[in-house]
Amino acid sequence: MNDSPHPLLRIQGVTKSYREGERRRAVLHGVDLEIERGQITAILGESGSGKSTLLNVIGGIDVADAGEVWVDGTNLTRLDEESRTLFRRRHIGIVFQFFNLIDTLTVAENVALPLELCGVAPARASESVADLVDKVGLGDRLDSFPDQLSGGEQQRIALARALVHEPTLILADEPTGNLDEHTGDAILELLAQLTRQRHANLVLVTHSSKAASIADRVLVMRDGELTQGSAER
Amino acid sequence: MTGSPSRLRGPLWFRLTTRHLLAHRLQTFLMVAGVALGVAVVISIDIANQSAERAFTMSTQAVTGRATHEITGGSDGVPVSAYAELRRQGIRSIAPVIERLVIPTSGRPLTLLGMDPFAEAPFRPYLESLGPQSSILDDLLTVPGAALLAPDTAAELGVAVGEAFELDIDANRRRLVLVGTPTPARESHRRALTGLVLTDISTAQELTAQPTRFDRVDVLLPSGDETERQRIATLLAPGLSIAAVGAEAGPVREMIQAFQTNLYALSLLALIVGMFLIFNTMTFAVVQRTELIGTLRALGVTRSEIFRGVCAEAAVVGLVGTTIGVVLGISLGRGSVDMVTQTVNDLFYALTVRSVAIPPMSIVKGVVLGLIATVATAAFPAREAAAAQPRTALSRSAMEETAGDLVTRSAAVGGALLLVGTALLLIPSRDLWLAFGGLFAVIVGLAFFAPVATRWLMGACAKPMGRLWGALGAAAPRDVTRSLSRTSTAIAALMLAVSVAIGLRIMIGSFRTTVAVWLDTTLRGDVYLSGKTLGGTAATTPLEEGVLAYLRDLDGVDRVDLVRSTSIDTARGPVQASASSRPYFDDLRLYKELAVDAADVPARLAKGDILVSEPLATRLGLSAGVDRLSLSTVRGERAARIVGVYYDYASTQGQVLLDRSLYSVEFDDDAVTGAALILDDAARSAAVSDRVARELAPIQTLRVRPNRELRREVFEVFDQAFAITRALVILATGVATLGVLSALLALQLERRRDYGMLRALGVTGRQAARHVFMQTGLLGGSATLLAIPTGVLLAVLLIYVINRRAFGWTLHMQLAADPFVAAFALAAIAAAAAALLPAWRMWNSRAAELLR
Repeated sequence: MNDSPHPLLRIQGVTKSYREGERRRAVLHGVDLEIERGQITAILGESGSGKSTLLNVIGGIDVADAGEVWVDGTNLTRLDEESRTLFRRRHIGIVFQFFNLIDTLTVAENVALPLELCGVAPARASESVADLVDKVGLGDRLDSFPDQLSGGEQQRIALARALVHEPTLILADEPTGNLDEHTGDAILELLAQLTRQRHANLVLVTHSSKAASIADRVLVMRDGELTQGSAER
Repeated sequence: MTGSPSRLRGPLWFRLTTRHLLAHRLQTFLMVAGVALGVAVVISIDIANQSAERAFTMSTQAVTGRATHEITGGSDGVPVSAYAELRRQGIRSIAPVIERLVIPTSGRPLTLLGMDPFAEAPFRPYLESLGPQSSILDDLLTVPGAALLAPDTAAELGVAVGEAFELDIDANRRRLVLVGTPTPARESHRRALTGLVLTDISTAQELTAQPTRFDRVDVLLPSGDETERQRIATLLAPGLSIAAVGAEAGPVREMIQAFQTNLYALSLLALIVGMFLIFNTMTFAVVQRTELIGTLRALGVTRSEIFRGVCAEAAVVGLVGTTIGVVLGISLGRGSVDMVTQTVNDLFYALTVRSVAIPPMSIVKGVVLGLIATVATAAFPAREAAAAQPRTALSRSAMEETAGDLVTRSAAVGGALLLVGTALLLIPSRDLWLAFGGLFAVIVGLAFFAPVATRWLMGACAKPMGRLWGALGAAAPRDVTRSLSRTSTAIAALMLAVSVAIGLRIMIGSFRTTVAVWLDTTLRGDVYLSGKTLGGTAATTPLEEGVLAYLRDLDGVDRVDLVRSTSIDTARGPVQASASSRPYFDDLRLYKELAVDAADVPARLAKGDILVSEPLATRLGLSAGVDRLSLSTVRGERAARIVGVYYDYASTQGQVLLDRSLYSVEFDDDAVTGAALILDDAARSAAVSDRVARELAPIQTLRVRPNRELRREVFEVFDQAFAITRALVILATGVATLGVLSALLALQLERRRDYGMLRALGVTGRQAARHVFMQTGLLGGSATLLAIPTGVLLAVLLIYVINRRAFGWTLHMQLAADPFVAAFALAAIAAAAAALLPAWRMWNSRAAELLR
């Protein structure tokens, strides 16, 4: 567990809008949020509520129009594009709704990708990859390509990829949105289990209250504004 | 987790790239093919040009050797007595020369070089090998008709040492005896000997029937020794002059270089079209990997790493394509050497050397050009890929949204290129590269308007196509617009190739018509006689008196017009001159400038005025009615007034036209080198020509041709000159076809699921294939529509800027239908060829496969 005096995540007055033809549509309206370490946080909201945009801003994938985003003591809004990318590379793991595995890389290579980007030696990377892929239950599929896996299996590999470089923060955008209910449940369980085992922090955005059930804290996003959902559990 | 270097490591990108390229083999092939073809064309033309250049240099240097100056005496040559006098005055570094182009019984022309072995050594180093072989030297001086040949030339003629062989020298068959085959130690000296027939000067005098004179006297002066040059000049008899060597070769070299520049420019065009193909396929490769790039960016790969990765991928493709292009270029080069040297030979100078050289610099140029072109072209899509936010890169339509900006940006770039091009063309200079730079900027600038034009055209097509073919019909132009970044570059590439085809066809057609009109106004004889000509040289062999007597007594001849073609010295250097007994210069169509009435021209010429041809006027900057040209006559210098500048397409160096009677007196030269017979009955010209040729054969070997055959020969040479140009256009179109194919495959891959859905809804394979043909029809049709105005503009620039600067010729532009019909056919064939594979795939695909 990190002993840092900073909260894991602090967001102050974040706004974001997009151009739609001649007009601009506001997606986030001055969002404030603070998340402590060791938590799994779910942000619940309907489609178009702005929850994915918020996740993108947290991950430095997108930039806020105004406001500040602090991750583990680093103000992302003060970083330039290059530094934001390098920060994300080292400290953040992302799980996408559509898995986003790279078709032309094998399972092992996909999972090893963040380690390779961080400059970890291949031998050490191989050990971590084999260990983690084994933990997600696909130890015998290391040499398979993504198109040879089912949707659930692909998302398991995506989880492994998000966790392999031991990021401080894991961001999951509708991780079960493209899976059947049974597989989705299994994925959520695995995600929560791995996050806790590895003392990581997870922010999950979803439209499903069932998915949010794994969280320690649930927030609700509505029309670009964040409200406290159920009490902290 | 932390590690040392934070960058996208080579092996990872290498894996991603190689696997992507291997997974999309056809696209990879297209990309490699685009680079390979572009590089191959550039290298092959470079090899051909370098070989022609080397052949020209060797052909001229072999006969001029190290001489710095030469003493000439116009058509009379230099009297032996004048040479002897110079020697008596202590001028030692001089050597007499007789030089002729001669024709063996079979094979290519050779150069007869008569020289004095005792005076030669300092001049032609390749003759040093004669020194130790004293027996050869003895034979050369004592055996009648003795000659030396290089071993390969002897082999070509099929003659061994001690054997006799025959040559046509000055239209007379002469017998020579091979007394030796010198083989100098140095390779360059051995090559210089190739194509030469070396004889002692006295033997050459006998063979050319000029016992009292030499063609010229070579002079070797220490560099910059002006005093010695002036001393020699003062010792020369009237009518003789000393000038720096190369004064005459200079204009010929200039013309050959102009011809070569034209070829270089055309070869670069193939590379530019290739660049469009590379741009197209690289953009598609980037668009296709939008999600991959988005994922990598989300995982922490930086913009510069993406940019470098895409560029590195392009470099790999460029390297493979360039390597294949080099191999292909060398083999194409071997073929094009013949085409280029043949044209140089026909139009400019008789090359006695025709070997193929593969200069390392040609390869280097091709490699550098191929790699730079590939990486520079790929830099644009690489920049697009790197600039995308991870958020946008993750969305499928993001790249095409960026392509929407492309319309505005490419139109801006196009506008800027048009301005630059126009500015370059307006610079008053004769520099050909500057003109081509301007022309390229204008044409490529217009190609940059392809996206905006495509969007507009597709918008206009959607409704009528919807009415004709329903939803699928309306979808076809929308598909083209939706993938504008690729479709518009494919259209631009095809448009460039087709516009060049149109432009060149208009230019060649205009040129042909101009020449045909010019022949009508100048070739008014029914039968023409001259000595055998070689290469671009005018027939300068005098007709023998017996021939002239025969012509005077010939039945059925209304009139015989005589002409003397020769070289005369002027204050502006030696120039070709034509002294005609009856110049048909009363037709206004012949003149570019005329200071007097056309009807008065013959009378003015008889009084000493002259006409100059357009290329000479351009080269020397002469105008009718304003300038004079100082002629070195036997009576001294005479400044002749220029009364007209006439169109002339027979010579690129230009010539002076004088009255023959006056010329005979002023240059003390009664010789006749050509005759035109005007018959009582023009219909009998073929029969008369045959009869004259047959009956004159025992007197002198001459070329006797009826008017029609002479015209046919002119157009044969004309077509030969443009053969390589046509081949280059076909190659460029081939590359553009690959571009259209690439764009269609891109459309298909991108819309795979849409096609799957359509097939699932009941669209048949045939209907899907028809949809592909609709798209290709739109691409080809748009390219043709855009190519028409571009092609016409290109023709205008070629005719009024490039040709004028390169050759000093004015061509009269003719707009006929056939260039446009041919261009339409070319675009249709290219588009249809490109559609075959995608349509076949679509026809045979199943919905489930497409939807998977």
